[in-house]
Amino acid sequence: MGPVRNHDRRSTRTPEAFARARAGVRLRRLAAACGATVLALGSGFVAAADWTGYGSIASDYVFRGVSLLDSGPSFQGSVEGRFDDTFVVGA
Amino acid sequence: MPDHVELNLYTGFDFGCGSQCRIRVLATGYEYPGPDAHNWVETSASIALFERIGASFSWSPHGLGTGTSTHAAEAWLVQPLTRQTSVAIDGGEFWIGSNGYWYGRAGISQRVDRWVFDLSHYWSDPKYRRFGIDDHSQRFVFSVSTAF
Repeated sequence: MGPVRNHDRRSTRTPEAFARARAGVRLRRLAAACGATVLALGSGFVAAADWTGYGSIASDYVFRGVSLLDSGPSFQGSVEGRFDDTFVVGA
Repeated sequence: MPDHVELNLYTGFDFGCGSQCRIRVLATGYEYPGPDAHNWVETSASIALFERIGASFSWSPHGLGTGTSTHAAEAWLVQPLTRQTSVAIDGGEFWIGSNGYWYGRAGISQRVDRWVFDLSHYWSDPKYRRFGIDDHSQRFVFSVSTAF
């Protein structure tokens, strides 16, 4: 038996299967377009900000006078983005 | 996920109020990943003058995840001693519902290249132990940090 060619495989599909395949292609194209848009917006969002941050190691983590780690070591990191010198987001 | 992971997410506005003055208004989410989450959100407003002195007020409808409103008033002062060394004092009062306690810190920081070494002493009103969340009212904390 020889190799199955593409048109041979397609010929066994029903019209419903073609419709589903076309719908799947459209969904994948839509997802790719959405993903590209999100990436573009995300990269623009990241590029539009001035980013600063720090990392820290400490012997304790005291929040408003209270040790939240029962005198244990803490590892902290922070990053902040500033947009138009006014709007800030951070973690 | 470790039990003691805390993630703080914040957003807001930071703007000038004169050549040596800045005001910051933030909403901060305190997130604790894990099944025993007691996340909470706090709003705060602060003002800083000359990058050396400042004060803030914070309020949360369910501070510390307790279901009780909390608010805090804080102030701080940073005084450079040399180009690489500075001292700082800060403190405040924190209210959980109508019960409040004070706390404070005095610290000295030394910059070495891109690293900052800090040694601070913390004091807290011993009566906060009524809340059962700590068993010391004083402690030293040493830290090393770097900015990027």
